[in-house]
Amino acid sequence: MSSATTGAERRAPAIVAGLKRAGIDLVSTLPDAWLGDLIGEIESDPAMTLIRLTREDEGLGICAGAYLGGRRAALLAQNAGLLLSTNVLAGLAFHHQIPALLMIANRGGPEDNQYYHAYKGRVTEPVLAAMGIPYHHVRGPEDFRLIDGAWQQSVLYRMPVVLLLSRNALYDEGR
Amino acid sequence: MLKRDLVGSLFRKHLKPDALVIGGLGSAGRTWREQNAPHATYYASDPMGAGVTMALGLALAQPKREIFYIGGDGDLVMNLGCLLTLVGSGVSNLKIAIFDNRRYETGGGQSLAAAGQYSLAEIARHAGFPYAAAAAEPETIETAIEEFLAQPTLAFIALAIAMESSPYGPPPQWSQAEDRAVFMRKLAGES
Repeated sequence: MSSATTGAERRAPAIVAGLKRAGIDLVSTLPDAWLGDLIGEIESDPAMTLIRLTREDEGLGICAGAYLGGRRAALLAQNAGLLLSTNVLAGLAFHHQIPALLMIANRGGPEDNQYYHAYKGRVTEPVLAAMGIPYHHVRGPEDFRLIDGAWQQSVLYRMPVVLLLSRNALYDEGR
Repeated sequence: MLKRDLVGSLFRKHLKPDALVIGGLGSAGRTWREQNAPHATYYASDPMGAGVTMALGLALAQPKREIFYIGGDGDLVMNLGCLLTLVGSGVSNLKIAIFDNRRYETGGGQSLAAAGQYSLAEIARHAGFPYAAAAAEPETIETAIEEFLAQPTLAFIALAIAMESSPYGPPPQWSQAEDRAVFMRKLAGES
């Protein structure tokens, strides 16, 4: 078993606990390599519902419909999916004014050695800033309190809020 | 081919009174709005392509209620993969009715890609929908709608709608967010 997998088993339960503190029991996802163990943790938890997507912006539709019906939901995806979803994200934020929590694997930064993710790391934050969508960095377990904090902000602002998850937030690599 | 108003009136007639409705953008949503039906309805409006999954989210939040989505084919095919997401979700309380006129009617009547070369009902069936049907004949449409709405499972119907003028209405009195608040307060008051 790799150290990354061993670490993920320690991170994922705490992240799910954060979702539960926020009252979120519905998560839709399109996988990313960094998210695999967290997705497994959610799927194996009988108190959580996991919906698998074919495109990330479907997950924002699910978040919106769930909110209409009184259920709290989150989207779990890579930042490529966030970039793809910008039209729906803006629609929820400024047209429908609907809260949603986006948990985004923030690929393409200094802790990511995959060359094909680099462009995503360069544009994710500027795009969110240009859209006026609140976002916060989750760099490790010390930031997991931001999960329910971001949900509260989302409700108060009546718009989606994004958490950008670093690799260290998802895997304990002993650093 | 079917007239929009006929289809709208039959859904109003046969839809369970406590069903919740998501109306898609364009002429399909306007057709439902013109029915002035008593059912609690949220008009998904833009972003185009998100209405079906909004209905799925509502179905997941309200598993004891019947959720009815009425929208257009252009809206659906913008995110056609969502049919797999619906099937994979396992919901059984969601009905999807699509106005299948193969055109972006509100946008000026331009054709959809591959118009006339596909069957939405067959696509839905092969995506795994337990029930997927197509309806085109005025003489049998009421029976088809009754059968569709009676399904105890996730269900899909493609309705061959005749081309009719469907101009934009005037700017609405209420904003989307105000409409959302009204829908949510109505739902909260009922439950």
